[in-house]
Amino acid sequence: MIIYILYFLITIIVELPVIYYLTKIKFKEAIVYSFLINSFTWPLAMIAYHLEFNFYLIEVLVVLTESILLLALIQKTYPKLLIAAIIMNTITAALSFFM
Amino acid sequence: MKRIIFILILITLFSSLVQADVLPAGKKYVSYCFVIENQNDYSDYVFLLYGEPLVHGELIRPNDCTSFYKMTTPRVYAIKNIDFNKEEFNIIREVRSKENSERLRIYFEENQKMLTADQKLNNYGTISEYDHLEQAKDYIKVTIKDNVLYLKKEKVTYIYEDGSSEEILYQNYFDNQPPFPEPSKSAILPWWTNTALMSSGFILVIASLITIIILAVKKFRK
Repeated sequence: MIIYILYFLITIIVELPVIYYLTKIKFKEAIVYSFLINSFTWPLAMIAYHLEFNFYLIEVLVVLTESILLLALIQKTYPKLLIAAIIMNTITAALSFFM
Repeated sequence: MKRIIFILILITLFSSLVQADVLPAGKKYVSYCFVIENQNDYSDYVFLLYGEPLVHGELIRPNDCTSFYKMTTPRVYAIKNIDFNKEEFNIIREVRSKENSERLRIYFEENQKMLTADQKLNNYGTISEYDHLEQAKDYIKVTIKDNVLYLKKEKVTYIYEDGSSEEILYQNYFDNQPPFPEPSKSAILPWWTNTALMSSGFILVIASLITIIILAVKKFRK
């Protein structure tokens, strides 16, 4: 259980600077948005992962979902937010191979 | 924009094709080996294991636990001691070339003196990485009758990470390849862990979605 919480926090910490630098919002907002977005996608991704869905399919769906949620919260141009979501999830997906 | 989404879809489709020998995330392999219990009853025979890929005629020794490459489903073969030329056999199996692979295949599959087992063997496969199980050891009985080598799985010993073990008998089965009996210790975490995790996960998902909607609507109104 503790390991799940730790992975969740690591995901937020890793994605936070990407949201902050790429969207140029306030740092406090970035913390809240990173937490909210990951609170939505992370548990669903974990469940899909344990139900043995294709890892890459999960990652692509997470990218698309997070980019839409970022759009709802930040209201910047969608391509920029999609790129942010791709970068965030590429880093966390890469990290998952080492943990 | 459309191009990025198209690339993402392509990655998803093609990634599933390149996972054949890759351990799926969250899984681990169970080490597997087998022992022929009554091999000494057939001391006039040499027992060998052969199957492609990578199982190039391993010698099965009495009481030894023989393992093989995880992706291969090899067969046990038996040949009479008097018909088995160990030196010649070693030359065929040790020099790795395409030609020798074919000679090895012919040696096993088209050799009149070679008895072929009625069933193939397979590894235990993968389990959740949170499972206790570390090793599965099959105990097999052989019977040679009318030039056919019959295998019968008698029991399996499961060895767990904490060093404990259990022995489970195979039930009467009609199928040639019986499934492995279910190990009694299946996971480290209690049975309700997944339910608890799923429930808390769903609560978190719904709560965050509601908050995101509220924040988005507020921003939109501004």
